[in-house]
Amino acid sequence: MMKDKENITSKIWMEEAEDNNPFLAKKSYLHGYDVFGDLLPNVSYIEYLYLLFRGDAPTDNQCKLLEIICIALANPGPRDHSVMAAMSSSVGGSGNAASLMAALAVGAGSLNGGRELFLCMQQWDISECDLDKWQHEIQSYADNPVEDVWPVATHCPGFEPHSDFIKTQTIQLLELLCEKTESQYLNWLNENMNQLSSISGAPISMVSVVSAVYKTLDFSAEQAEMFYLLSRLPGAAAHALEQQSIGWKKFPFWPNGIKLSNDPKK
Amino acid sequence: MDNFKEKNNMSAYSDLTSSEDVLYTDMGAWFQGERVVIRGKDLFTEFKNASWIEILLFGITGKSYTQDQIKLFNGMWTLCGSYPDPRIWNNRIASLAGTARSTTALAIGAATAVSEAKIYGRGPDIRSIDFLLRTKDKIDLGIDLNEVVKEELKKHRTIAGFGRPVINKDERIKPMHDLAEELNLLNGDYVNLVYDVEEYLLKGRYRMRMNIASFLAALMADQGFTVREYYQFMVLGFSAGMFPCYIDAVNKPEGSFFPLRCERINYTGVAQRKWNSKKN
Repeated sequence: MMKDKENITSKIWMEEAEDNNPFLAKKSYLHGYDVFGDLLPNVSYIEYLYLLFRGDAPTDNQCKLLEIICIALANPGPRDHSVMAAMSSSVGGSGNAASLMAALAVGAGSLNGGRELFLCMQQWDISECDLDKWQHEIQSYADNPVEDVWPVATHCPGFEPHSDFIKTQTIQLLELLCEKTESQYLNWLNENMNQLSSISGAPISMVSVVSAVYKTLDFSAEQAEMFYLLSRLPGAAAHALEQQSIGWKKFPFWPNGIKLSNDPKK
Repeated sequence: MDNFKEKNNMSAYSDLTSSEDVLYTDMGAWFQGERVVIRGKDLFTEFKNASWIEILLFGITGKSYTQDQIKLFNGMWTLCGSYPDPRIWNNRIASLAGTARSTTALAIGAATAVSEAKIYGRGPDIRSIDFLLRTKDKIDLGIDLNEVVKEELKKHRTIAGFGRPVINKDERIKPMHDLAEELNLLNGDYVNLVYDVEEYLLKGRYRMRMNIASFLAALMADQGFTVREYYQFMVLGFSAGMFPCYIDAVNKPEGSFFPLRCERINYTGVAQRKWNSKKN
């Protein structure tokens, strides 16, 4: 390390340079493990991701939790706002990075996005498995909003704003996780989802289940938000490429869809 | 199946069904091959002599402004946001995009998103104007300014728009102050308030000077801008400084923007170890 020069401080990554080029890494170490010499032949992608974020090897249970959640989140489907954004980018011939940036920007918000997940994680951190605390959090989520770049939340994080029952896939995911993994948070959510939904006046959403997984993995709200944002990108990429090949003529445009209330010609 | 919404005549998803295939709006539309309407006005006839900043603000607020106001708003971007210094964190994105041979639009798009930061840019902007609007409301109710500031410090440990990362002096305030004075747009209630807050903070142990976020927020509050309007106006305000950073980097040898040797990583993590499968 060059102490008298600008440097990047990191607990995650270390590099050893090639003997004859100080800018090329001969060896890279992730949390002390030789990436190409030791990890590459021995770890799964899920293990590597967990190690990257958490700094240590995951248990079988942690791997299973992450794997299930990564699959559940990988493709929100073409009607999802973030995927729509990626497709809307690609049908006009924008670059693939622009499509993913569009998916990230739209998928960052407090309607099924990273912000909702972040806020839900904060609720978990405060309330843990205590129904009284959850009741307080749910009933006060809109109190004392702090002015921020984010729009004020218009539904309680972790609950569906446009449904009056818990959707089938949310229950499927929660039941599978309870069956295949060990988690006090998921078990508690499974036992209390109806009470929580009654308190909220809206059913729990997939975000509640996903945040319970991240809570089980001991992710911070920030780590969970990042992981969630990453996890939802594969579907955006695949659908963007599909629509790129199909073309803009078959992509929704709503040619007569806008009704202006103040058209100066009327 | 449990039903968690209170029963009424509307379905839980009525907001969605009522919007299927139709968008009712007063913001505007493109009439293909014919004309464009923006907030009830015809773009081609009513804005043919307008500057870009006038239509930007009309789109945000729905209002038109005097030429002196437009000069003030223009000056905010010109004097306060156009720093072509690639070391500044948002500009650095543009430079990195240039050195890595990405596109200009990706560079500017990402750098703009990055400008929505907590310690500079849009975060302080929005919190500054919010603080000033709230504080003025309290003073109008007869609460002492010192009490309001003390309470704010107790709650947030800082005052939005005061103090600055890297350096405590903000060189943008004087030129912006001079421009506002020249335009006769300096002596509003909020500008007076922001100076009063600074005086209080300098007297005490806080030693925090106002930074440009609170000064601009005060100027904009005096022009009737809301929290969201000020924030939205400032979103593109750093862009003029980003383009030179990108252009400079893309015109230099690839990868040569502040390159770092492997040994520039100051590793503070655990010692080298061997992977032993899972630690169940």
